[in-house]
Formats: sequence, structure tokens, C-alpha cells
Amino acid sequence: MKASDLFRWVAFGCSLLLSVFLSAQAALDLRINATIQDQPIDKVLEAIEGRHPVRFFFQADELPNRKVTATFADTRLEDALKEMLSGTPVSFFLYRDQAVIIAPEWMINEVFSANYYKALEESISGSETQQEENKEITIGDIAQLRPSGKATVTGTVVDAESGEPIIGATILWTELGSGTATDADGSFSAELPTGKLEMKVQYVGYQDMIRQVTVLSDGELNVKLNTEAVNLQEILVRADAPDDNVESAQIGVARLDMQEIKKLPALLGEVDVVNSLLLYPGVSSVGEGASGFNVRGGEVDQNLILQDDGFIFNVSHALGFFSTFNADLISNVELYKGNIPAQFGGRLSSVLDVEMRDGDYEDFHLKGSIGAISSKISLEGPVIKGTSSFIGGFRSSYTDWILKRIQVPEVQKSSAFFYDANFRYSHRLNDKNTLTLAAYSAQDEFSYNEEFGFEYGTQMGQLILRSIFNDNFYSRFSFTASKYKSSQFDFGGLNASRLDNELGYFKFKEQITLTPKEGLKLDAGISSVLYQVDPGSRSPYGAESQLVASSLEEEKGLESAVFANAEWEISPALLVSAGLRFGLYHYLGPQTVFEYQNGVPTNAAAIIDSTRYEGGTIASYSSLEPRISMRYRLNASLSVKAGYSRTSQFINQIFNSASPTPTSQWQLSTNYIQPNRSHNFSVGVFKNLNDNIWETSAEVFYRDIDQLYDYKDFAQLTVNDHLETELRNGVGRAYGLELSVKKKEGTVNGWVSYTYSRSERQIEGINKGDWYPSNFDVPHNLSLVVNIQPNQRNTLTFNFNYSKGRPATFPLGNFESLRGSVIPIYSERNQIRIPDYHRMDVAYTLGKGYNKTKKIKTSWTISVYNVYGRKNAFSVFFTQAAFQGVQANKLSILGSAFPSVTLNIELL
Amino acid sequence: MYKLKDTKRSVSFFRWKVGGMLMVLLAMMASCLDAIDLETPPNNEESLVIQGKLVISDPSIVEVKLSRLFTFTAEGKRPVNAQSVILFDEDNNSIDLEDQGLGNYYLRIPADEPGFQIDLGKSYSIQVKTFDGRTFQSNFEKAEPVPRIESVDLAIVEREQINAAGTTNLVDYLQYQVSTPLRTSEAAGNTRLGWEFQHTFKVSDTPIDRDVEQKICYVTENLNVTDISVIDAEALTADRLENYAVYEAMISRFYGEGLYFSLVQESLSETAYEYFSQVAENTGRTGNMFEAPPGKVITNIRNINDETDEAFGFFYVTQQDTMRRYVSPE
Repeated sequence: MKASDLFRWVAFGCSLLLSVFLSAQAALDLRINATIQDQPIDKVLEAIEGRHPVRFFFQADELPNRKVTATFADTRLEDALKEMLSGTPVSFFLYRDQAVIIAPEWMINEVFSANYYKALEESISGSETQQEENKEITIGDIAQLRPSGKATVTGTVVDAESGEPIIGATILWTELGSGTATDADGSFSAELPTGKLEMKVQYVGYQDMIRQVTVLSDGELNVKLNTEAVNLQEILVRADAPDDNVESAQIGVARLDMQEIKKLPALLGEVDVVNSLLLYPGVSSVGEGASGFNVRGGEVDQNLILQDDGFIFNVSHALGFFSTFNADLISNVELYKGNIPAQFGGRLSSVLDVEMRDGDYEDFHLKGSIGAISSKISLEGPVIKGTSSFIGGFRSSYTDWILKRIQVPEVQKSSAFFYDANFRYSHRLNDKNTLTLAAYSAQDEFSYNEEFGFEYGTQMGQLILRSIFNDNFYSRFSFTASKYKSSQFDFGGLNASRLDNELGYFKFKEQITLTPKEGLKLDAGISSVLYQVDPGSRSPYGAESQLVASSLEEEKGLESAVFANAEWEISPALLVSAGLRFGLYHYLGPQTVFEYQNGVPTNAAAIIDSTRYEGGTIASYSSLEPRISMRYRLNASLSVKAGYSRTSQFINQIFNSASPTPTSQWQLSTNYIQPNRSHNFSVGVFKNLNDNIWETSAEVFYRDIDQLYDYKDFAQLTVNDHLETELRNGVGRAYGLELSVKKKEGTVNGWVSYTYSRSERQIEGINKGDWYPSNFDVPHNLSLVVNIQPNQRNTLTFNFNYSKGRPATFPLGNFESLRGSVIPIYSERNQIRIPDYHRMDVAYTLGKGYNKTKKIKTSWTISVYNVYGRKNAFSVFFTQAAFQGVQANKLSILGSAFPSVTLNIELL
Repeated sequence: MYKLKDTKRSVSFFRWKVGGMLMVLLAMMASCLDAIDLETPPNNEESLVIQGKLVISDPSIVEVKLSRLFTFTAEGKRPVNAQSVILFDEDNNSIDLEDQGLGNYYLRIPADEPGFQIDLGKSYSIQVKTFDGRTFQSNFEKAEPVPRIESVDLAIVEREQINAAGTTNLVDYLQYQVSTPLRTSEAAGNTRLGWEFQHTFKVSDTPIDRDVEQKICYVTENLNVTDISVIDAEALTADRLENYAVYEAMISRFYGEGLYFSLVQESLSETAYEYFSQVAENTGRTGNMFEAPPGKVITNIRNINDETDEAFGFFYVTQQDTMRRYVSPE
């Protein structure tokens, strides 16, 4: 069989080579029995193909012009081929166990393009696909045919190899011009007319499946999709349909492509979900190394960060330079920036929903990577093949070797260490129920010169039960227990201290999903979280310390909610998702509550009495939160969307610095500290071009915060039993415009986004009660990401980011003290901006080889962060040397370029 | 050098340690500091700054300094003269301060001053009347007694420094240690304290020659003027400090002919301590990511006729104890 026009050679032949693969393999181990007399080689190969399950690919004009005379008696195919081709410039190698490629030797030592393998694969599977396509599927029983002529077909779409559910796969019914998508469990349901239909199941990275289906009555259809021959999932896997940008009802949602993220240039090569978010419109941070991120002008603590169903309260390693998410274990990442669906609550700004993946139910895989400051390893595989699986990952830093080589004694006596570990066990109890147990642990330790340090970490355990009650009724139940502990140490001297605080919670959530008819999906559920907060205790540390110990009493809060949401496709053009969430919060005893003069907690001197609550509810708040978003499709590639949501927040992080510290306490709403509340509005236009390869969007948003607080000057925020006196209440607003253009595929792809965003607040007693910008008010933000991808294996990525400098408080003036020093006077808050920020990064990724039979695969990422060494200001502050004037200074956290090399190893 | 701050404040922790943290970050992340020029917004340069201090002794000394704000790039001190500067006691007795020029007002008040008694435990206030008819008055500040210094001791300590070549050297520093009770009596609570440092050294500006009489003078300098050293002893369990390091200086030419080191220990009221702590917060800023924002420092001075006429500065009353220690060249 000839395969002309298959060979397209690529220019990137400089690295790992596909060598002739002569180890024991299925096809090459075939035993041949034949007597050949003076036959051309192509005829011999054709004859072998006809008798044995093997296929040959070659170009006839490249075969040696010789005739073969040989006798093969129980001869291995490999030996037979060697004999036939000996002394010629032609060699061969095995592809996917069944195919043998015959080509000139020089060609075999080149790196083949992805297109080659894709075409090859199509050719290999072509006849099979044709056969499969012709295979008709019958659903139901003619005896149960309904008079209405309709039937409900339900089923699942799973990965043929791993059995893992495929989320977001589309099932299209060609004759009807309609379709549906699988949900988080890979399930779907469709009401169809009985009769013959053509079904097309699609998911990027998988082969399309086309089937003739005869629907007779209600029934089940389970689909297994095979992956594409080439590793398209390395670059293209997305948990959304190709036209999701236009089609979905939700506005302000960013779906992160994990494979895309892995190719982005990263600081010191650490692939980072949180830092990658900063390249998306509407997401910013106060500076490099800052903990957390700001979404549409919101505080960092206004983001609900979920790992599966558990809240993560600190996602920062190394005080904020890296995040705790291990990218190798993540299935799906979504950021809800505007309209938060009804099933989520408790934060004003956004939800970062990180879904971890199940281990492979069929095969074992070992993965690892070695980077400049950390390494990681993960292992997954079946426990009971096809029934249960596990996946575990561990990442640990080794920054100490860097510190020990720094010629600064204080740094040499410092240490910085972090690790994170995940383990997940999933068990298919039966066809209807899957149980998952997950454990997560992350820890950071940081000390400087044996003088001070931090320790902080999160431990979390989860139980998740996914159930299918019937064809259109699903359930997801989860129970989570978690604890975040942090400590801050001052090791020496009279004031040596240890500051501890802790936040734990128990949470359960039950969510059911109903699809009563096509185009209508109902979600409803209930959730409850019991928070237990140790706001802080300070104790003497070391023998010399003379510090007076102090501690605060544990606080408790119970946050519960019921929610319901309906997504209804009223017409092909109009899709509405409307929901309601009712939240109820109780601040619980035991606790002592101060009473203040005139009931206003202005300062400690205003305390006139206190009341002791031994238990029960001290204060309670409720919130009724409508959530609605809608999409109106003007045509197949153009839609407008709008949304509104009301959100409330009953727990906040207390910090008045630019970035929270690991020990910044989480504070529950109390009778004095009111919950924060906001109204969120968004409107957008979404347009896809060129068969959904280009996505464009323009969104405007407005957030009206009718309750928030800021801090008074020199607020005392740690171990303060009258914290409410340090807060000042007010209102806030955030508004802006997000523009985005994205090219999803092609040799050159990427995106560019621009965000105009303002975040302002009006607080009594600050800036004379006038509106002033928040610390994270960044009006202009431009991100550009360009991937140059000549083939599936080689990717060159550039990204550029520009943002306006954030606000800062500058001296209003100075005066000379009695002793001659200059004292700055600060008055108005956040009236000047630090210099603008811009940075360019570049990364080259040499992906895994195409040879899928190779057991060990390696890939490399070489990146340079901050290519042109821009000294971006994190902050501006003022210093004075003796007998000199005051000098303005900028602090740049990352003041030079950071090259890094990361090696990834995968054992299949 | 050691800077003592309020241990209750989280920001203090970072301000103490931020240099260290930045060094680690610098080592790991190549962070850097650069001087920059900034456009500053128009400010209220006409605002009056009133600083005053009454030191209870015999004689007691009261000094007041009047000035206006100046921009952070300006060199000028912008002194202001007033129509009158008056010290009041809590019985409304008053005594005028003498104009020393350039906005400085001063008065020595003997213990037997008729009609105006200065006593510990009493409260005092100042009033400033400007030539444009404005009247500023401070709150009454109470005079707290200061514990007496028991000793000032010396120790030579080694500190690591990086030289121009980038290598690390050990350098000798002289560490001054104070031993003092933190309370003035068994019944009293711990006192908030502040420290100031001076050294006086001999300068000979001619070479040694038997036939020529050397010109010798003595120079007194305030030390560590850009830092503010205060301690909230109320936050400590101990009732005394023992060999507590309060100041360190690299051994330099000043010690060549010996010098006198003076440690001035002064008592601070709660509000005075708060004022100096807040000033220290603002002056010791390092710009790190965990640093609390600067703020508007409290003042106990206001225009009694116009609340919108904002004044800056502080008036406080203190008792001081000074101990001198000779530091020989050996």
C-alpha cells in the first residue's frame, strides 16, 4: 500500500530523534512463512500485508529497485525485513504496533511533523473508521415505541483508554441540527424523534465518532472516544465546545487550558495556574511576588478558590511567588469573573474552580519534572482495573542550595522550603455511583538568618460521591474538612515572639442536576460550612523573651445556603441561566462581645461594657442572591450576553498591606463587622470568526459594593480583641471594559486582551470621605500571548504584559523634627501611582516525541522571565540618610531576567 | 543597630525584619532598590507644624519649634515666627516662652519659679498665637517619672559587612548596653521609654609638636537622628532591662582619642509613645509587600477656632535621665 504525499519533513531536526525502533514489538514479532522468487519488494510487502495483521507505508519510488528471492520459515518479520533491505539505503521502524514505516535511513533520523503522523493515523484507521461508521446502532426496543414518536436517549462519553468521563463533549444530531454536551460526569441526555439519525460525537483531541443511530425508544448510549493519533491534547484540550465563546450563557468566564498554561513562560520554570491567570482580561495583581490575584477590581480575599469542592485559603508558596496547585494533577480550571453561578457563594468577586482529575483506570503512568527550584513527581494507575484508580503527586522545593551559594552570611543562614502533595482515590461503586477520596497538603517554611520566619500550611480531606439516579437525574455530594495554620516567628531578643493563627472548616454540599427535557437543565442544592477560626495568639519565644503573652478566643461561624438554577434554551437564539441563592450566616458563641459608647466601635476607649455569650447565635445575617445570565445569539457566530448577580461574603482576610501575609488572619462577620455585599452587572458581545478559530469579545462590568471596610491609619490588626475599632465602614465600586481577541489554532496562535478597570471606595474618615482608588486599582492592563507552533512538538511562546502603576500613598510634605531629622507627613490615601509595569517573557517548549510506543518520554521547557530585565516597581517609599534630604526609592522585586530550564519525564 | 518598637504591632515585626526578608528575596529574585524622581501632588505647604517638649528637671526646660511643611525634595526648613508661645499648667497658670529666632522658642524654668510650678504627675499644654490671628493649643500632657539608668556597658561585637569587592568581612562594632529598671516604684507599672544618643569627642587639628600648643576642641553630635528608639515596657513581663543593647556603632576614627557616650532615657506618656511609634512607622518604610501603608500621624495640637485648619506636630512632657560613659581608645 502506497502512502504518497504523506511525508512532510520539518525543519526542527535538532533535538531528540526518532530512532529506528527495533525492540520487541507486536508487528515486528510476527512470524512469516513464505517462499519468494524474484519479486519486487513492494509486491512482497503487499503479500505479507494480505496474510498478516500488519501494514506497510512507503513511497514506491524510494524503495530499492531490486527483486527479492528468499525463503522465510517461521521468521520474525523484523528479520525478514532486515534481510530484504540489507545493503540498501532504506530502513524501517514500527509505528503504533501495527504499522511499519519504510523510508530512507536519513529520513528516519529526522523529526517527523505532526501532520505526518496525523495523516498516517487517519490512513491506518481509515478502513476501520469506515467500517465503524457504517455500523448502525439501535437504541431501545420497537415494542416500547412511544406514540409521540419521541424517545429520551441518555448516556456517557468516556475516554476509550482510561474510561475517564469526558466533560464538554458535543453530541450532534446531523438531521436535527441540534446537539447537547456532556456534563461534569461525562453524561448527556437528549430527547430525539424516533427513527434513523446520524450522530456525531466530538471533542477536541479525540477522533470524531460518526454513527448511524436508529432510535426506537428510550435507551442508553455509551460512547468511547479514542484519542487523536498525534498528541493533540498537548495543545488543544479544552473543556468547552468550539463555539463556547458564543454559545454559553455565562458571561465573564475564563476557562484555562492546562496544556496552554504549561507552555507559558514561568518564573524559574514553575508552571503556575495563579500567575497564568494574570494574562487573562480582568485579572491583575498588586505586583510580582504578591500573594493572590485581583479580579475586576476586587480584593484578593474576595476570590473563592476551590480545589474540587474544598476551599483553599492560601494558594501561595514562597510568600506568593508560586501557587500551590500542581498543574500535572489538574483536570479543569475555570474562573468566574462576573456572574457567579448560584451553586457558588460566599465571595464578592470571583470563583476559581480547580477540578482535579481521576487517575487512569486502565494503565499506570509515572511523571516527573526537574526544575530550578523544585521538582515534582506523580503516579497514577488502576487499583482494580476499570473499577478504581489512584493518582498522587508530590512537589518539593530545594531553594536552600541557592541560598547557600549567596555570598551574604545572613542569606546563607536563611532557608526557604515548600512542598505540596495530593492523593486521590476514585472507585466506581457500580454503574451509577463513583466515590472519590482526596487528600491535599501544602506547607511552607521560611526563615531568615535565624532571626525570624514563617510557617504555614493547609491540610484538606474530601469525600465526593457522584451518582446517577436515572437517565436525567444526577447528584454530587461532597464533604470537606480542612485546616489552615500559620505561624510567624521572631527568634531573638526581648520581644521574641511566636504568632499563631488557624482557620478550620467542615463543609458539606449536595447538588443535584435534572434534565427534564431537551434544552432545560436544573441544578439545585444545599451547602453548609462550619468555620472555626483561631484569630491569633502571641507568645514569648525563646528564653530571653519578656513578651507578655496574649491570645484571642476561638470564633465560630456557620454559613449555609440553598440554591437553585435553571438553564433554559427558550429558543435556539435565547439561552437563559437564572438562579437564586439564599444564604444564612450565624456568628456563634462562646464569645465575649464588647459594648461601645453610642454603639459605635470607634476606639478602645469607647468600650463601656462587655457581654459574655456561652453559646448560641450572637449575630446572624441572611442574603437573598439572584443570579441571572442570558445569551442571545444573533447568528451562528455572534451573540450578546448579559448578567447580574448579588453576592455576599461572611469571612474576610484582615490585612492593610499591599499583599496579605501568611499570618493575616481570617475574620468572620460579627455583630460589628458586617458582611460585605455587592451587586455585579456585566454585558458583553461575543463573536467567533473563521470556523471558531478566532474568538473575540468585549465585556463591560460594574460592581456596586454596598458594604465593605478599610483600615484606619496605623491599625493594630494582630491579636486585637477589639478589631472592629480598627476598621472603617464604607462603600465601593468597580467598573471597566475587557476586550479580548484569541486565535485558538494554527501555527501562530495566542491572544491579546486589554482591560480598563477601576476600583474605588468611599470610607468615612479616610480622605475626607471622598472616593479614592483602592490599592489594586489598575486602570489599564494589556496582555499579549503569542505561540509559534510549527508542529505539535515545538512551541515558542512570547508574552508581554503592561499595566498602569497601582496607587500608593505619598508624603504630603515634610517637617524637621526637634532633633534635626526630616519627618514625612502622609495624609490623603492612594493619590499617586507608582511607575507603570511592563514585562516580556519567552519560552521554548520541546514537547514529547511522537513515538507513542516509547515508554519514556521527555520534554523540555526553556524560558526567560522578564527578558529585558525591567525593574518594575513593586512599591515606592521614601528614605532619609543623616543630614540629607528625603529620597524617593522604588523597590523592584524582580529586577533582572530569569532564565530557567525544566525537564519533564513521563513513563507510560 | 537596634530599633525598639511596639511589640503589639504586626507592622513593627516587618519593619524590624524587612531588611532581612528583602535580602533573601534579593538573593533569590534579584530584587533591587533604585532612587527615582517623582512628580508630587500639590500639598498644603502652608500648614503649621508645632513641636514642643517640656523636660522636667531643675531647671525644667521647655522648647517649641514652629515651621511650615515643605515638599520632600525641598531643602528649606521654613521656620515660622509666632506672636506668642505660652506654656500652661492644668490650673491655667501660664508662662511665655522666649523667642530664640528661626521659629525656636525656649525657656528655662527653675523649680522655684514664682507662679508656675513644674511637677511630675501634673499636666501641661502649650498655646501658639500666630501673627495672622490663629491660635493653636495642644492637649494637656502628663509628666511621667523616668526610671534611673543603672549602667551603660560596652561590648565589642562582630558584624558582617560586604565590601566593594562583594566579599564579606567581619567588622568590629561597639555595642552599648543599658541596664535599667522599667518602673519607678514597686507600685508603679512599667514606663514607656525613649532613648536618645550623643557622643562627644576630642578633635586636635594640629600635629603633635612640643613647641606648638595643640588646638583642641570637643564636638558633640546627636547619634541615630533618623531613627526613633522607643519601647513599650507595658508589653513586657520583666520589670527591668539587663544589659539591653540599645545602640551599635562601627568603631571608627571618632574613638581614636576616646569619647564620651551619652545615653538619654526619657519617659513617654501613652499618647507620646503612640506619636513616636507612628512617626517611626512612617520614617522606617522599606516598601515591602507586607508593609502596612503609611498613615497620618496623630497630633495633639489643633486650631481652637477652626477645626479645618490642620496642624501637625506634637507637644509632650518628659523626665530624662542621662548617663555618660567614657569610651577609651583601648
